[in-house]
Formats: sequence, C-alpha cells, structure tokens
Amino acid sequence: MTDNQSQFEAKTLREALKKAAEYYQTLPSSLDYQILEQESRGLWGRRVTRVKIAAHPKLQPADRREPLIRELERFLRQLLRLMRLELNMDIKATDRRIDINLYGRDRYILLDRKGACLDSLQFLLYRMFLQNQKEKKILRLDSEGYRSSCEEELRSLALKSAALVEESRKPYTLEPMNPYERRLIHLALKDHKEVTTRSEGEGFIKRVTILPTRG
Amino acid sequence: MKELIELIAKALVDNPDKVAVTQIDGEQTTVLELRVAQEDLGKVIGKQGRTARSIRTILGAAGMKLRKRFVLEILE
Repeated sequence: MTDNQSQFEAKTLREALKKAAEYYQTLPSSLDYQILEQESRGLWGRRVTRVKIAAHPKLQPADRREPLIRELERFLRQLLRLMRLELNMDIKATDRRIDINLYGRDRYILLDRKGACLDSLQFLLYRMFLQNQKEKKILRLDSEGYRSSCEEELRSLALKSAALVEESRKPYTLEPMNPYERRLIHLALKDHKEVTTRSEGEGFIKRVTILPTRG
Repeated sequence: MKELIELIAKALVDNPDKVAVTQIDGEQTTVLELRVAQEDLGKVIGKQGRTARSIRTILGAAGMKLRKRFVLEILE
C-alpha cells in the first residue's frame, strides 16, 4: 500500500533514499523501501537515470504506546518539517506527564527570545491534544535541559532579590513573567521569613513584587 | 508556509474543512490570510489572543530559517 506522500524520485537510488529520509526526518538506514520505477540508459542499460521508490520508516517493534502519544509525535514531526527545522525528538510519557526533548541543529531557533518558540509549541500542542482529555496531563517541551537551567536562574534571581529587599526594607518588583515563572519565584521564597511575594497586574503576564514582611 | 498555517489551524478548530489560507508573496514580506468558520474564530485567537500569538511566534521561527518575514492575518 503506497500513497503519493510516501513516493520519492531522484536520479539515483541513494538520492531517492536521502529524500525519503529527509521527509521522515530519519536516516536512510531506518527506512523500508521498494523500487517502483527505474529508467536507465547507456550500454546494457547500466546507467540508471531516474528511480522512483516507495519508502516508509521501518516499523518499530511493538509500538505499544498510547494512540494519543503516537498522534502527537506524528503531528509534531510534520509541524517541524513544515517549519523547515532540523530537529530530533525524544518522547517520554507516563500517566501523568509527557516530556518531549527536542534537539539538533536548529535548536537555537526554538530558544531564541527566551524560548518563545518552545513555549508556543508547548502551548499549542497542549490545546490540540490534551486540553479536552478527561485525565489531566502535564506536557513539557524542553531542549537539552534548557528549562531546568532557566528554573535554576529564576530561583537564584528570587533569592538575590529577596536579599536586596531584606536589606533595603523596600518592595522590589521583578520583570513581567508568565504564570509558570511566577510560580517558581513564589515557591522559592515561600519559606523566607523576611519577605513575602505578590503578583501584580492583569492577564497572563504579570509581575511579582517582593515585599518585606515587617515595616 | 501556507501548509504550516493550515496544519495548525485545522488541529485547533471544530470545522477543519472550513479552514482556508491564502498566501500573498511580497518581496520582503509574505502575508498569510487565515479564514475559519465564524464559531471557530475564538479557537484560533484564544484568550487574550494567546493562541494567535503562539501561531505567529511559530511562523516567525519558520521565517528565521528561510530569512523571510511572514505576517499572519486572521480574517473575520
């Protein structure tokens, strides 16, 4: 069974396989293929001038993952392909969360402007695949530990700012942040005796103010 | 880029068959016009425009690779 999408044409078999591998974002060696048509020229037809193959990634033995995860992976691969991004992915899924790690050459595009693209992908995928599910799951897109290093930075920012407030006894307001970032700030200072934290502003992006506990 | 917007929009709305994207190529900027069913408008815009903003960010990232500017217009 083949459809147009899984057919590739080139001057040589090797090039056709390369095309197929690019399409599926995999290696030529992970493809199963079949030669559909072949044109050749020259003495005894030895020189192949055009070859058409049908190819698809080799079936992974027992892909027993949830259909939801498979669908999500398929969609994300297609999305990255249309974005022309050269990225690989690892997906880890449990009952409660899905972790996707994106890595490869175009990682810098995902992380540009404080990970704006990574956040946008995460938000859209959640809306498309998880928002309407009965059981709530966390979806987290990351790229080689980018998020954990950001979390570490936010925690240290919280502590440094708290020390500042403790000394000056004056409230200090941080940069605008999204709910996830604000939560990290609140958590980092939850047990701090000298300061309290409060979110201020309207909407999705608010600012956290750190205040001294006593006058 | 038309296909990219189609893929995203179709996955967000209730009426994927009503999704239509027109691509207008300019010298420096390409405009993509997205039309969806009236009742799906909120689905592609989102609360406080968050969904639309995310789609635009993704479009911008795709543009970075091609060194082109893409603008998304959601038409009513």
